[in-house]
Amino acid sequence: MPSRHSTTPAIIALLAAGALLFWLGLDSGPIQAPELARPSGRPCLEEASAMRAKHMRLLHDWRDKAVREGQRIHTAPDGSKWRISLQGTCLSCHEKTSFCSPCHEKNAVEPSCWSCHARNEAAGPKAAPDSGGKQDSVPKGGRP
Amino acid sequence: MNRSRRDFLLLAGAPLLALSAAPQAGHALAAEKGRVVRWAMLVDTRRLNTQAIERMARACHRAHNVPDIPGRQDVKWLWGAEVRHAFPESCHSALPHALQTRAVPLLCNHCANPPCVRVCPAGATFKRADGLVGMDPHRCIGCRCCMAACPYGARSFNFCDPAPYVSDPVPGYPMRERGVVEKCTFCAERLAEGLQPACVDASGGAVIFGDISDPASAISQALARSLTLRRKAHLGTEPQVYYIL
Repeated sequence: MPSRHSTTPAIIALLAAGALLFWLGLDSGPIQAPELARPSGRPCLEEASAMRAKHMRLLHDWRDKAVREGQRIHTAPDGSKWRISLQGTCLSCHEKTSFCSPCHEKNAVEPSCWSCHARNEAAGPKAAPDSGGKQDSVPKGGRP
Repeated sequence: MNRSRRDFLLLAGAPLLALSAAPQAGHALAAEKGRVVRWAMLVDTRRLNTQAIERMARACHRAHNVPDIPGRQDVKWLWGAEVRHAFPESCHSALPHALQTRAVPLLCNHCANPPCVRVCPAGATFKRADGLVGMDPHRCIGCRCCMAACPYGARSFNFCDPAPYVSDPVPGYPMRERGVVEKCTFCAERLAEGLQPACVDASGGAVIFGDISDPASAISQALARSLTLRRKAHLGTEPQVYYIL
């Protein structure tokens, strides 16, 4: 059993090391926003800030509306009509690899959308360059 | 005293009367808005053969990115079988051999009383108001209870990642992933755009699809003209795919 004389300094050293990590982290500056490709096409169905905050909620609702209720038209707050389709509507303006993925990766989010939707799009930046074709565009994870 | 009590009871009963009348008004409103659509399919097997069914299956599988996996793990939405295997309880040895071995296309029957929906513990498979038995792969947990419950073998399980086995993926339709069940959806995505199901388009007029709640629809008229059979109707699942043999 270690003596009391060596335990106390060890705890203090550990706490100091932990505090040092936080101290160094404080100095790393503001978080850099990822570089995203500007979407082309008509203006999005809501403001960018609103879409940034709640696109996942919207896609969730779209999913249930299209698949379960057979409802395929969405009316935006400004009254414009949109076809409910991730691949047909969202991805016709937004690039999956240069718009969706960089931000998801920066935020360590792994949405399971791509395991079925838009699988035959170009491979994500994380995928091995030589694995080619349609099998590699799935981010790891997904449904176990 | 008695009088006021009676008045009170009458007064208390009045809202109940209003409540009991409200649903009637709702029904009247629904009737005004129009009938509920009920999709069904009628297959005239006299006008089909193995090649035609193969063509229908290809059109279906291509439109929905259904993989072609060799061996027992294959996934199918529409496939062909002989009459004697599809309708074993209606066949007997005195039936002409040509009729017994005639090819019929098989698919999900979109039962009005679907056992798959009853057993699904995740609510992943469901019956829509228009009669479609839908499948929500987002919610499927891969337990395969629906496959055990379906008397028609209309459901397939993705034992492996299907993507490598889809030779020419259609970009507009999603794929499935390993561990989910899939089946025919009566082309819900095409119906939403006012199109006929892919197999109907590929059948050369041998398959009629439409609304059986509308007596004027082509399918209702054809059903009224002929003797039609449904697969394993004695099980009480009320299949909505009808066959003329």
